[in-house]
Amino acid sequence: MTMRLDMTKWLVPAVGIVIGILMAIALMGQHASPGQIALSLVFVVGYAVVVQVLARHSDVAAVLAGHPADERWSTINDRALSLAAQVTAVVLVTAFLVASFAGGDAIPYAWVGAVLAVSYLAGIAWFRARS
Amino acid sequence: MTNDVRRLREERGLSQGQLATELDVSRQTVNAIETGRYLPSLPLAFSIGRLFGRPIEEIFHDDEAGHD
Repeated sequence: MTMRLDMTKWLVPAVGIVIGILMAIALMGQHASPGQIALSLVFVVGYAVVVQVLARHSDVAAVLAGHPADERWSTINDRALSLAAQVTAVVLVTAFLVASFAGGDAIPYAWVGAVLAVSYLAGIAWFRARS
Repeated sequence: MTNDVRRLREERGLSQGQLATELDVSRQTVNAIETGRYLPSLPLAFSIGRLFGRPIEEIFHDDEAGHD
């Protein structure tokens, strides 16, 4: 039995590279300059690579890289994610209300909020079934 | 909850880092357990018990239940 939780080690770098490439393609479609395209690619991919490299020396970097050092760091990661999700929900509701009262387009906020709500409910159902 | 992890570790002449290596956790986690800031999971508590050759209830104490 191991205490070290084996989250997918290369998930964060892989996602970073995929997002970086997609951003570069999107910028190419907008006829951005090669410098802008390179900068966006370096920024996103660089973040993924840096946290992956630093993860060997820093527990915080290990969390950011997607492989917490142990169960305590995994719990810290879960709590931080929960806090971030709650803050995001409050910001989304606020943005939705502000956009609605200002006569702006509130639909994107509603969609993101709906995704958040549905994934939360799905998470409850999934983890209830597994515990 | 209180525990005797620090005392047991020191009795065996282990540093926090050495105990962390034995348990496959970070040194900060060992420190958090010793100071009561973090309650280990049941599997980790069993690992601690095995390492020190004692049952869990001899290492971790429920303050609310009182001691016999």
